[in-house]
Amino acid sequence: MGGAKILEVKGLNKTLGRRHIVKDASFDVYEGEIFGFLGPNGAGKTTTIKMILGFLFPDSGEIRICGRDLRTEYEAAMACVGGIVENPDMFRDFSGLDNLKMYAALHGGISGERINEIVRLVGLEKRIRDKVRKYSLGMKQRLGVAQSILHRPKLLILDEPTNGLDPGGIRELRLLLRRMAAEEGTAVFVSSHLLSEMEQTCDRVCIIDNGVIKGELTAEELKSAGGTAREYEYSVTDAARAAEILQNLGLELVPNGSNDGEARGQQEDVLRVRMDKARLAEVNSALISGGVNILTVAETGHSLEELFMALTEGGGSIE
Amino acid sequence: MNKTFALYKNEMKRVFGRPLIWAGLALAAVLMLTEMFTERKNIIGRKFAGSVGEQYIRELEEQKNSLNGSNEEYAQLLAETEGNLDGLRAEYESALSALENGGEDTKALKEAKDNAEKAYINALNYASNAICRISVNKINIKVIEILIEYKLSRQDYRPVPLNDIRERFERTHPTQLAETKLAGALKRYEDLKAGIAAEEQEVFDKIESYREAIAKADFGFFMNELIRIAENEPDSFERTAKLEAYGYIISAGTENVGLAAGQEAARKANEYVIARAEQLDRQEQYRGVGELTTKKLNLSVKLLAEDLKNGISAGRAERVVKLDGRLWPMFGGTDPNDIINLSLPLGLLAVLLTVAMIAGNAIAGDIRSGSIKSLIVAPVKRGRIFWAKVMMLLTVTFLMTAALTVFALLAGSAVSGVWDHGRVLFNSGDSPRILPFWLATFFSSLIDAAGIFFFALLALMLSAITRNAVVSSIVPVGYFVFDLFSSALGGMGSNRFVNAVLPMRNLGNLWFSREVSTLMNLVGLFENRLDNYYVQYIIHPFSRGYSVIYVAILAAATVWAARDAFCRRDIM
Repeated sequence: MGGAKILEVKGLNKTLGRRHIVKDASFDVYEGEIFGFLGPNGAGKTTTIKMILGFLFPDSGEIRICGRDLRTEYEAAMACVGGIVENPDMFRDFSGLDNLKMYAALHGGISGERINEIVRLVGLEKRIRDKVRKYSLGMKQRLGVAQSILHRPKLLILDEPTNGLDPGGIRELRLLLRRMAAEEGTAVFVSSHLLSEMEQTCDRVCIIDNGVIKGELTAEELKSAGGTAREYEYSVTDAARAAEILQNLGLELVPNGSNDGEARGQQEDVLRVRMDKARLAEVNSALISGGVNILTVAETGHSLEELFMALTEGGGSIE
Repeated sequence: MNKTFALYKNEMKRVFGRPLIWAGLALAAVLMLTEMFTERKNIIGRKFAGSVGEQYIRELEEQKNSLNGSNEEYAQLLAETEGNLDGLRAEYESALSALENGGEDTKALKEAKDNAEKAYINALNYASNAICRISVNKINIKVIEILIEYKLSRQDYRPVPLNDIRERFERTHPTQLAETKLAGALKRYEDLKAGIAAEEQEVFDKIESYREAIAKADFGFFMNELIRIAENEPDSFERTAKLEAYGYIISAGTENVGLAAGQEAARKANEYVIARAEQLDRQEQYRGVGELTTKKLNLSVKLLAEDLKNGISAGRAERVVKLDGRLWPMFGGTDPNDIINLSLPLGLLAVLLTVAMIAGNAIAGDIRSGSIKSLIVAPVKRGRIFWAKVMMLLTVTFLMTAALTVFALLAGSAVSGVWDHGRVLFNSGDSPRILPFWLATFFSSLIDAAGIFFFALLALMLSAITRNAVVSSIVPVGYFVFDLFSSALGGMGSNRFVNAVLPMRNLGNLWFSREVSTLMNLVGLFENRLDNYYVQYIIHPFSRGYSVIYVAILAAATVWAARDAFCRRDIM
């Protein structure tokens, strides 16, 4: 990474009750990158985030934010951070604006214009003076985002930020995060279950399972993780004829919706085949020549999802 | 500091933006107004009685001023009384001399000397104590004048010197001291000696018999006289004077000397009065009838009620009510200041409930709702968040207390119609001071607020440890509820109710009860219900430094535990 280290996590451990939730976790987040944090439920993602944000005290390990040790220079470290953990919970008896003003007072140096700018940015101009208890989940999420970026943090930590957002809102957030990372050099640390969203948004992804960091992948490594082969789904007029043509071309048909290797046969009018993207034109031509009408063709199967499942269920790791 | 202040402002805005604090103030106002209007009828009665009482005092003055002439028999009476005590002293000195010069039976002589000394001292004690109690009632001015002359002539008397009488008047009845005019009383005594009308001879014959009984410490005599007068004599100021005098003497003997005879006499009197009280049907108008202690005998009031049944005028009855005011239980509420003194603790109880709930919710509620996250992700140490909450509780406690004190003073004055509350005794350390009532009320409220804040800290600590708002609020309040019930079941009196409500008073009682009661006994304050009330009402933190240290240590430990639980434990 070209930028400075904004977040350094070394040897983080946390036990809650009798469960060792986070085991010797170590990773870094750099200036200007969007860092994805992935893991199944109960993997330790939120626990790790809570330790970074000061909700929980690590049993051992070190957390440095902007070069400041969180344990000994808490206020200086947290001055660099903005974050949302789980659902954003504000002071319900205050208006959205009062919440932002209170937060601004604690940071210092945040003008009224900046508050107004952020309110416009998250699309809450019309409701910002209403009490938070009247907000929908999506509005609370927007307010949480507003609060977390109000002070132009160097590190933005978002735990499931797309909760409650409609597709438009998700896209807006994605664009916002990218702009912040690119234009302001903000390091973004985002945890989410939406793998497709993470694939589109993140520069790097870290996978955690059972409290153990399984590995980190860059965006390029993600794309190349599954090789050049892609999976394509064809909707055709004559599935049997299409299957024959594809097999004659030496292509392997993929059972519909399953990776368990068990052949389930083709769904009527729908075929799935794995092939290099470069052969797409050849295959389309062969099918049409063979008298098969192609109704639709779409690329399916997330390489990230496959990799994720393999790592978290198969116990593998990325070397 | 700026961040802590910003957090404090945030907490204040939150707490005043919620309905809880306003509901607490409204509850307090309702409780206080209810108590005020309940007491109001007694205040009205007292006001009427007061105006009639003033007229009564004028009548007494006129009677005294009409006394003239000489009375040789009185002088003889005095000489005989003095002779009785002289005789006792002679016995004592004789025995002492024989002992010092040696004698055949040293042991017997010593016993004789000891007995004579005891009898002499006891006689002086009884006379002196009787003076102290009788003298505060102006209608017995003739008695005090006689006995003062006796004390003046016996410069070597013990244990209460003349100065103590003056001090007692200055301390307990500063305005009456001016009116009593001790020097003037002495002069009047001279006038009395010079000449007393023949028609007053019977009164002085009776006074002579009192003094004999005082000298002999014959409580049985007083008890029998008490019953005889109560049952047989027609209503008159002499009758009332004698009833009060006997009552005081018996209770003085019971409290300060503790003689078995005195206690037995008091017990018999108590049974007698209880039996009579059960026959009365005016309990609603004279609250406290039937509520008795072995220390105070409301005989004259109960007999008054009986007199009313027999057709004595209400005007006369109310005069005696005023004159008997010092024997009245505090719930009688005859003092307009009581409208404020009795209602304010109820208001402070509501403050306690409100502040305990705010404190119990301060940390636990924020964690439960998740709003604490907004603060945790901000660049503020948890310690700042904690201290902001402590400052908020402190401010809320004192603001609510101040507001209710102002409300009590204004509303109480409006309800009673009495705006001049005069001055009250305020005991601070060893130098009792007279303060304006409103200032003394604010000062006592300040002490009460400190106590309430202490328990708010307890609720805050529980909030940080248990993370449960309900438990954190209930435990501190539960203490008071339990104490309140136990006090209500066990006894009566507003001071006990107040002690149940406010922890500082409980604490003060725990630490100071012996010192305070001893002190009060020595100066006779224990018999003065009014002084007792104010002494207990205001704990002595300024004179007893160790109590402040004790509470400070407890409070510091509570704060430390609360801060530790909040700052060093995982939040969520």
